[in-house]
Amino acid sequence: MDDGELGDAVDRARSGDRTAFGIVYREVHPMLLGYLRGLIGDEADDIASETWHDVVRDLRGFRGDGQAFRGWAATIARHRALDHLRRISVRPRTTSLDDRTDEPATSQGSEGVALENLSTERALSLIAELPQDQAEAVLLRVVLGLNGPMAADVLGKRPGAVRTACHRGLKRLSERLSGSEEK
Amino acid sequence: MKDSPEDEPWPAPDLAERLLDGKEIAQESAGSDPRIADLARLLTAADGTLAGRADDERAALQAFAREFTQAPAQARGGVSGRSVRRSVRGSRGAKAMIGGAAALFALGGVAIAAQTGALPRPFHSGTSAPVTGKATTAPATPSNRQSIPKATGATRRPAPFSPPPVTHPQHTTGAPEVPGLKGLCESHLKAAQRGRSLDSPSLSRLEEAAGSAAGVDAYCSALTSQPGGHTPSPASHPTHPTHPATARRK
Repeated sequence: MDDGELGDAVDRARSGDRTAFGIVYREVHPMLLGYLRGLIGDEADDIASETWHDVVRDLRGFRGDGQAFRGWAATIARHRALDHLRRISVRPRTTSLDDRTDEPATSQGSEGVALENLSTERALSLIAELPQDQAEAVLLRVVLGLNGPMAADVLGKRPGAVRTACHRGLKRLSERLSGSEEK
Repeated sequence: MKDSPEDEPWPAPDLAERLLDGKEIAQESAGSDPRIADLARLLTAADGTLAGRADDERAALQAFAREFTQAPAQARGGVSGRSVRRSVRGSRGAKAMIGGAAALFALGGVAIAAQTGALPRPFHSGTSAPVTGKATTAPATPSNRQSIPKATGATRRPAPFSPPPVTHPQHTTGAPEVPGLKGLCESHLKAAQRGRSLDSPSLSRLEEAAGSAAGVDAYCSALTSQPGGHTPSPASHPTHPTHPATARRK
């Protein structure tokens, strides 16, 4: 579904068309889930549900095309995810963004990653191992399909900074895939 | 495989953007550097569809139905309660504006009628005075000005205070009438009996109708003695009710 089609569905949903809202949900929910899976792991489904609750509540006030809607939904999801991480920050967790260092984990050594039959979950987990700014930037660009400026809006950063984070993330992913990453 | 030198960004910016956008990578780029093909494969896998929980979709649809059926008016056009209140206020405001405009027109009509002599003046007896056919020969300005209160007054106030309807010369039968002159004459005669006189504008009208100041008494006596109120004799000049100031300028 392209941005125009998604935008049309969003417009119909805003006017109360339940079928159109179903189309929007089935188009955008997997993207949100992928983004959240990279952000917070197994809690992604719960946070995505909370995100849709907010989307439904505020849908009437939304104006924009399909890309703008994805960006808006991603912003809501991100805020929800960060709230979630703050809530659980009193408990020790090893998979949250707050616990990540600037350097990626190298749990698999230098033997590289087998790309045959690579699952979506595995690919997301590889991206999630990137430093937070790189991981988020790559997820927004690749999983939610946002362009550079829209991803920058979601992250509250300048487009140039997000672009740099993306390119560094790709380089690091390539190193991870080939097993040549620096430790 | 060795890392790229620090001064040579890898992947190249354009190629990185194509990968991030999910666009196809040229065969030569992927073929010459297997890392590009591997990255493309990884990103394609990450962009795959994750199966969500069925209950979540159902809950979202129910939330949507609740949100958009509890407030159908808002859902249809985003019309909030504030907007509805605003529209009510707008309706009241429109009514007030219409009422105000009607009052303004009415007052304007009264003002113009008073200016042109179509309204009863002091001591007006209430009977319509004749209008002479020569009114049609008068300059256009006063004639046109006169037509406004006539039309207004005819619809708002019936006889005896209403001025006569606008008549065209070809439709006029008998002697034309000048509105209000008979009443003015009666008032003039009564005032004269008491040793008083009419106000200046009223007297000017009578002088104009009579042709001279000296002829007012005779004119009014003749006019008030006629049961139909017709002019005793045709005047040598337009006898329609003109503004006193206009009459004086003539």
